[in-house]
Amino acid sequence: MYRNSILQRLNKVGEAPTMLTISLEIDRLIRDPNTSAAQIGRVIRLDPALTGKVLKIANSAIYATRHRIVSLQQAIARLGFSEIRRITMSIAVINSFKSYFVDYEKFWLHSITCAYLCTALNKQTNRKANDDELYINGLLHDIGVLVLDQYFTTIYKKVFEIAVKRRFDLPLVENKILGINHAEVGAFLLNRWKLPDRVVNVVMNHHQPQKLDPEHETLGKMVYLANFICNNRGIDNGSGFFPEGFYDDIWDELGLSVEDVPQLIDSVLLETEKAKEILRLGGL
Amino acid sequence: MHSSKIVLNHDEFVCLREYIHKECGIPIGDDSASLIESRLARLVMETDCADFREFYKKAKHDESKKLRNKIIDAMTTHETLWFRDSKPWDIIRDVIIPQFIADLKSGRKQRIHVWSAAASTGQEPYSFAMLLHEALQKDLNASASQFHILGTDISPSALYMAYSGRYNNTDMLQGMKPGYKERCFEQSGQVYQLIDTIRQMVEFKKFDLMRDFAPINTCDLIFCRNVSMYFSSKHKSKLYRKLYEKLGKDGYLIIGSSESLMGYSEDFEQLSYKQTPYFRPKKIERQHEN
Repeated sequence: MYRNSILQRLNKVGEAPTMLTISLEIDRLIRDPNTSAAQIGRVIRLDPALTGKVLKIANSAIYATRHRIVSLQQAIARLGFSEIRRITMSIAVINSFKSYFVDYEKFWLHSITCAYLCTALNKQTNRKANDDELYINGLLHDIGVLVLDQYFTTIYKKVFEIAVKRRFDLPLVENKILGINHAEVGAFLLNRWKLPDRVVNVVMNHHQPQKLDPEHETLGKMVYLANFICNNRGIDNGSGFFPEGFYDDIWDELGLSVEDVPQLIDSVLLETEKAKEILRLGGL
Repeated sequence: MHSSKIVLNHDEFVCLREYIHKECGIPIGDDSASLIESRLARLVMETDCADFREFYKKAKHDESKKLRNKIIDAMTTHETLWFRDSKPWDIIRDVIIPQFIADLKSGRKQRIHVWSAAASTGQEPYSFAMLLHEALQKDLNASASQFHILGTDISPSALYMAYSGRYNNTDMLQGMKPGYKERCFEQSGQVYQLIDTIRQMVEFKKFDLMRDFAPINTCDLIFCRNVSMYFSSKHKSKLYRKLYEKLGKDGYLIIGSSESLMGYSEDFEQLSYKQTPYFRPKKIERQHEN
């Protein structure tokens, strides 16, 4: 079983990539009500590539601003802290991981769509969860797939191919062959990189929402459902996974009804378009 | 953090096979270990069991029967086939749909209500919609807007899948009649999307068959197939009585090929087409009621 050697190798992975560290610092600053736009700007400017991509996205069709945004200060003022946080986090994450055999475009289209869809679900269910937290959780939920792809390419390619070919749930095949699944791997690394507990716990349990810590349940359930909705529409992480369904209890607990389904399907189609723009302008 | 290795060994297979046969009424072949493993692995995770042995014990001691019903769901999900049982669909195509169109044409009826009472992921009401769509293309005396096709189920997940009209190639297209796959679906990779013309003919709602049937319209046709395994004898009788009360006096009831009304209901008369039974309310009793 590969479990122990995987965990040992992950323990040797270095610090979080620079861009991710910067975006986490931005996340921390924005949580502080005394933070100014200038402070945020200074941190973003630490990475020129990040700065350029933020400006490109700020000027994209997603925000449809009337006048061209030429500085970070303007971008922060026009789009607001929340959007800046989402943009920097998206750019940081999609530029921090390589992919060897996993389809990079598909993977990130899935994750970014899922992130946006989490915030749409929050609005639709009126659960009043924190949109920024939801976004980060949606963005990172499958990160273990890229970690396994990056560090354990040969064996993970086999695992991935079996799941794709036989249309098994990816975590089941991972558990069987590796003794560990991508949810656990992602959570392990994010924990090592000192991401907040709420992110680690949701990533860890995004296939098993019944195991979420009570304080992270709402976040986790939305990620779980957004993940299902994306997969159902064919916006999967590259594994071609088509789900047979979701845990009925989650649906009821979020207060959704069948009448909500058309809106959810519209939402996923809309959010995919946004995700495509982020990926086009902010990706590698 | 821990990982769950969900592998079914031989002893567990033997125990679960016996349980599923005895408690759920679903016979399992000797060579079906992988079937049980793939269908129930997710439930093992969901119920927080470490392995199939623990899962079996949990199921065996589950007095609420909740887990038993979930096992039935998991084991029968893929059996919601298109045109399931095949023969009743000849009755629909050759007898019932022509009768409905004639009723609309003559003005005897203004609207036809069809109810698929346990629609699961939608194959049953969509199968009806596909046959109806085909009939209406040949006979212009009626239109789709004169039909209300309702699919209900208790599972939000099943209803979501039904509404989306998206089906996995190998698993979900079993039973499909020749030509319908090409005419009624658009392929996108491994997934088939039902065309909107058919999808929009069916309305889906959550409904529990144990509850009062007041929200359901009086129906001209009810499909209530492969549901009775979930009900005790007493509840089966109640279910068929409620279905009888929801059926118009010349409406039709279709039940599953392995189901029987015998011993549970005397409200229906049995008709037959090509040796396949279907039912309608007994006329004598209805006259008394009127």
